[in-house]
Amino acid sequence: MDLYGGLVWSLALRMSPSRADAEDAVQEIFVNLMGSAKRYDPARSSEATFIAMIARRRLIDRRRAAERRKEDLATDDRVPDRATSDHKRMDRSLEAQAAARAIEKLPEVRQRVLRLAMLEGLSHQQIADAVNLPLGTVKSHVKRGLEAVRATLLSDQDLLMVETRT
Amino acid sequence: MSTERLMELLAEQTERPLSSNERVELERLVAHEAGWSADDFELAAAATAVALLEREEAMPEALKDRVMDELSTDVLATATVQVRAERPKESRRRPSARPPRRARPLAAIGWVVAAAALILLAVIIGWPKPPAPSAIELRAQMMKDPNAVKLVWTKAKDALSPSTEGDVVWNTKTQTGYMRFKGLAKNDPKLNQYQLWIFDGTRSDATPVDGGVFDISADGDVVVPIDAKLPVFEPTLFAVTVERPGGVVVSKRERIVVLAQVEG
Repeated sequence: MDLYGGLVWSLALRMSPSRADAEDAVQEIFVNLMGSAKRYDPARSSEATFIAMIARRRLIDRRRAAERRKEDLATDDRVPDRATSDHKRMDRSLEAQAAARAIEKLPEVRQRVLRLAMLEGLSHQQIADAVNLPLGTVKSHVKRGLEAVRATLLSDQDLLMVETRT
Repeated sequence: MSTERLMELLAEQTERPLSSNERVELERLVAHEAGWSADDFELAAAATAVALLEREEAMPEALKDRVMDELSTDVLATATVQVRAERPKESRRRPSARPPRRARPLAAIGWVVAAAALILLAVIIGWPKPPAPSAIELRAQMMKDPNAVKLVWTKAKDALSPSTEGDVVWNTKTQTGYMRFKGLAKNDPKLNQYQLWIFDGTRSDATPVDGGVFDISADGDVVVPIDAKLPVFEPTLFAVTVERPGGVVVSKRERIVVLAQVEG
């Protein structure tokens, strides 16, 4: 909890419609992690990335469910301005660093689409509306962007294997 | 073409849960496409999210407490049993194009993964904390410390301590200590309480250090931790007085029950 509580909480704040919803989400995520821990494989990802994956999955599920219920996402209880809230610089995992390198090489519009999709949790249709692009183009940006990130992650894993063997 | 369709489904999966038909299709494609796993893009999406996050907000303490309440010991026990009993599907169908980071015997993979999962589980909620040692255990431990001084109580003339025995052990280095009493009368906290005073050679005798207020609620050997309110550099005398409930700032020293003086 001390190690990854901040990561889960930060993702929840970012992807939840309100602070209260983020608190509920964090509780749900940690309970979910208890059941998911058995699927963790250190050969495939770091703990941080695995936990972020489970957290993100739950947050997306909650967000889509809320959208289906047509809940008002623009409440007064919106997450506070991050410039004034207590925060610290992320101690990024190696995989996050690799992802950052991959993202930097992407065209600007693809970077923006990835940010809205992966960090803000917007649906592809919502992104299409926000950036004024056809839905198919947004889906393509997401697909190609993730493909690039995955390729970098695998490349780094291969490098790590070579270093380990030599 | 099938790789493109596979990536489409993987990308969709990062946005919404797949339908049952899509899930079946995804599993079929993963089985036929070497080097791919069903959560490849979800891991990439998670790494992307962490990379873009940049700032980490501290989790509120109240929320931590709430989550810890939820993650009860029963949940830990259940999850641990499950981890031991099951072998992860991902490790069985690891794509040949992506070997594990380290070469290791196949038979060990299940154990390694299970152990890693247990470690992760422990990281998530923390290992179950052992019960805190009792004051008796801590006193026994301190008695073995060469830096600690042990003094035997001397009885004073008070109705509450007709036959009090025991000792006080104090460690100036750690500023901790324990009092042991046998025969000190039980007190009614509504009427009065015991209070320890520690006389310090570096301070005036008129202003000993308050060592804390305590109650005696049991017969037999009782061990009470010392709660010194100020640093004690050269203890010369320990004295227990009877005071009004809550203790006092300056004792009139009207009712002294026991004393222990440092020789020399």
